[in-house]
Amino acid sequence: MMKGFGFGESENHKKSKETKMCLAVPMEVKEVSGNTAWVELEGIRREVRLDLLEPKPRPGDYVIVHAGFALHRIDEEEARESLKTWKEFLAHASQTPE
Amino acid sequence: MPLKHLSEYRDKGLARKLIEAIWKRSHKPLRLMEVCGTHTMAIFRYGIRQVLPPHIQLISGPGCPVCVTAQEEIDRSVKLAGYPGVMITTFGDLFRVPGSRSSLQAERSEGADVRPVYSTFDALRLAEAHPEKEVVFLGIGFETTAPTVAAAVLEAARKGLDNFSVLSFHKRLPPALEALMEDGNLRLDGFLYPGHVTTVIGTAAYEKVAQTYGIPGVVSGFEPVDILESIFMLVEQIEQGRVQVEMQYRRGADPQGNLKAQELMDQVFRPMDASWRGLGLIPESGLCLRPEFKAFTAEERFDLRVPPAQEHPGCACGAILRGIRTPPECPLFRAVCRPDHPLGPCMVSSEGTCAAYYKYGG
Repeated sequence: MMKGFGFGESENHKKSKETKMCLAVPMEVKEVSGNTAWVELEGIRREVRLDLLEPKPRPGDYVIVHAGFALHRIDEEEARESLKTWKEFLAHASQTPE
Repeated sequence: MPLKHLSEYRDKGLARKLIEAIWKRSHKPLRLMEVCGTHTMAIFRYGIRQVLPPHIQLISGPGCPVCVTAQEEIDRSVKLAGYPGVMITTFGDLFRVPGSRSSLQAERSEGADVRPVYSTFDALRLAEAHPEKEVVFLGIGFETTAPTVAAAVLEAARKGLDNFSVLSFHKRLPPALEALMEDGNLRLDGFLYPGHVTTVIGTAAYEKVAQTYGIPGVVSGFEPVDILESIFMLVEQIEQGRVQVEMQYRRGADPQGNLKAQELMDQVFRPMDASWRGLGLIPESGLCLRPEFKAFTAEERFDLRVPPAQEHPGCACGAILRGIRTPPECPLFRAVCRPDHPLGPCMVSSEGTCAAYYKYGG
């Protein structure tokens, strides 16, 4: 039924570390100081502005960073619940015949 | 080492199950539009088109910020670069887009001071470090980026930086989606809405599209599992005959959006009519600085009127942005228009549909 499953990231892309305009990524907050924070992803630290975030994040939180600004604090419970719901649904769906 | 909030959404096992679920559940022929350029790139990078049932077609929409920047806007930025003492700052790809007569890149090689920055605050720092220069930030992008410009303008006002200004080409996504549907040439069954625009504006704006045009939508994250979940959710809506705006990207966006970002954006910007490449003039689809921030408006400092713009004859970017043509249908594609020699913005931008087709085939 399914065609060849070529799913997976190309090597070219894994190497690319370019900053893309709309690429907002989740990064871990390490330190907060006033309106800025140090965030980290894969060992890369970066200073970001917190002007757009209310309430301010705390160390250990994950935030979505876009163009040097933290744009959203990830709701851990929401993320966990959503993933769990999908996994349960798909486990059930794969046992149900068409 | 697995990356939290990333690796889970690149899980191949989960992706396979989602693909199976989509094959099982989907029966009707579907045309779905991914609005955002970052979605387009992810869909190509992970080969998502190839693993879907052949009756599900994914169409790229007008969500690549560089691509929708109008030719006339490129011409105005080129004119700005020609003023003595001006330093232009902006995000990456815009430099290479050919305008009617020149590009920012060409101007730079002729001696103009044009610098890519990562953040609007980098532009502020340059303004502070170079009081002898007029530092202008070219604001492009949608509601994800506009609040970061608003924050920089407010900071410049606080600091009394008088050599910093903004040339705003910012666009608002919802009016463009309505314009696409009004156009009538595009037959669509569902929208994959951009997660990070929604992070800022929330889901309310899409309700109008759903109600007026009867098109279901799902707000999607950017990893392959996110996109597959969103496609499955759209399939479910369509198979059940529902028309709703649903949220797949629950970890990354609240339904009401980011109220703080909305507040800053409203404080600094107001909607204005704006021209889009491919879509023409759309009422209230752009953002300009409010009169209170006139001091930071580049048009107040420089005469940026330009002659009527000319696009490359034969370039199909406009039709591609409307979802009514694909890159291989453009006679210039691959033959003379390539990433190393782009003739239109859809090939220039790393998020452009032509660049995606060129890099990954299709």
